[in-house]
Amino acid sequence: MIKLGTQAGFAEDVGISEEEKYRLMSEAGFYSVDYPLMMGYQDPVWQLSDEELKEKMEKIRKVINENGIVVGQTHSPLDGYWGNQPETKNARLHAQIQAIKAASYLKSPYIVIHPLTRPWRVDETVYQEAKKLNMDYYNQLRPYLEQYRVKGAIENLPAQNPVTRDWCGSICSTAEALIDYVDTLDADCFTTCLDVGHAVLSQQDPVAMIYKLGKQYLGVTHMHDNRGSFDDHKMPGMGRIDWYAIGKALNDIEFDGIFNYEADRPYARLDQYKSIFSKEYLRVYAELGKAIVNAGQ
Amino acid sequence: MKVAAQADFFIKHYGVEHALKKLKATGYEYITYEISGRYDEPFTTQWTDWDIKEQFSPIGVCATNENLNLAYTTLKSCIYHDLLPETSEARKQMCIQAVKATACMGCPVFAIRPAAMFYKRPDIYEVTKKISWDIFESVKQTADRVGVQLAFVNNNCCYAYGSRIDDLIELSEHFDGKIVIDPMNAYEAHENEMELAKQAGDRLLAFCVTDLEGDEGNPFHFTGKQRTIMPMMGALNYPLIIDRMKAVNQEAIVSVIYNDVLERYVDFVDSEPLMDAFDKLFYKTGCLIADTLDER
Repeated sequence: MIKLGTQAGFAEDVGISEEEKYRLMSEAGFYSVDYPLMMGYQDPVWQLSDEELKEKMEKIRKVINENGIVVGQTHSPLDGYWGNQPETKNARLHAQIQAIKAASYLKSPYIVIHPLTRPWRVDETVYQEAKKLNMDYYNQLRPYLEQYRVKGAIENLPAQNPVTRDWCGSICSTAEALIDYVDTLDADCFTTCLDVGHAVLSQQDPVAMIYKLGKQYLGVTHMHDNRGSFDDHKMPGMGRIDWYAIGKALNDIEFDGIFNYEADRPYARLDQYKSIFSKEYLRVYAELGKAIVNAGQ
Repeated sequence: MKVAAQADFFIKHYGVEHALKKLKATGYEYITYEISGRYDEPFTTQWTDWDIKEQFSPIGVCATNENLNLAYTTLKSCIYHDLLPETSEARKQMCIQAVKATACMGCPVFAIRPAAMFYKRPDIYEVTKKISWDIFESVKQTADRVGVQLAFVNNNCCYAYGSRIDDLIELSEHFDGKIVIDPMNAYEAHENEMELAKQAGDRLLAFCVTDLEGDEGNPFHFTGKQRTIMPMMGALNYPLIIDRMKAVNQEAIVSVIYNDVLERYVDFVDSEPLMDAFDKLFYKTGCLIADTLDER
């Protein structure tokens, strides 16, 4: 059975306690929260000792669990090491490793770790060069994933042509590339994260990607919408994705993970009215998610 | 200010009784109804007065039973956006049929947008004015006969007649009608929606709750439903709108427009909890804009 998860942006900065935030999510029908560990590599949290990090994360987990939900997945810092920043390589890797530990302390089964990517379309040579770099990168994280029993989820990313600013595919934008990465690494430690909005920007059909990945490779999801012109993480239905087809595809492959929203960015537009609508928006998202994951059943 | 729900989406999918009970339970006291008939469909070309009565009277009866007031009706289809003479008479007839439907529902007002045109020509203002007046003169005769008042919705093309307040006041004075301001139309026509609403004075019947993507300011970039998004999440400056609502006619209705958003979710209309969740969200948005949130 597909479960529902979301980021907690609906309830951020609206003047309610952490307890209330997770209770609202639970009441709306969410099973899990996508807990953000995306703080930059220089964030003080990554300088904490393991004991301090563990204590901090276990406190967070306790509040989450006591209010009716679990941590379904997390997301590591976005500023991974890309080879051209030798002076910060160690600090960047350290942040990724600490994020893996944090995910474990939160009892999250998954941590999404972006592949190292480039801002332009790739040919076969670039693909192979980038793959080599990424395998090296992920293999450095692999012992920690094994030790802390968290699966690393490799996410499909789009790129933007630096001249035309058009969105396009990049190093790891297709189902085939995601599968290639997981097969080359180790399926016990790695899986894929399908970001359906990124798929659209990469000129890929997210529905076809679900079928290609299948239950075997699809571990984690990022669900949001766009119109193909900007990675604006809209609410499903507000862009161009066929959500009935998404739900049907997930059911067809017998996906039993989490339908996880990464779609609360536009909610910030409500500005000073955010707090008024938290409950209503959570309910709309929850009911929409339920309707989508019931599609085709 | 009062808050009205656009009822036709729910009526179409849940039946009139269930839909109106639902809206009443949400808290609404007013509804609007968008008539879906087009100029080239049986509604216009074949339906007799008896057909119209049979179709629309139950809505009025049910609204009365639920203590819901019908604020106004509109037409889904534009009255004119091409220059084909052969459709002109049919579009006029479509409006007349809609006025009859309005009367059958027991609804006091039929709101209509002046003719728009989405390609540029030097005489666009004059052409759209002529088309609009020609149609409104005919519609007015029927409206008077069946006891329905006309209201005029601001146009969404800045070059066309009816996007500016002077045009709307001219229409409302000549046809003894009201004015409805849709802020999305105002945005597309490069008009200030709150100035339109304020200057409409006591002729303002309703202010709509709509929103759109921010890249649709080109009057000839007509993209249909893709432009509409959840209220307060688009290009319109709702904090400013809310702040300035106090300056407009407080007898006016805040008219929450459901259709363009809910039609995006028609694949999931079987999920009544989802539709209820949207309903409550829209209602709360309407109440916030009507500045009556605390009272409810």
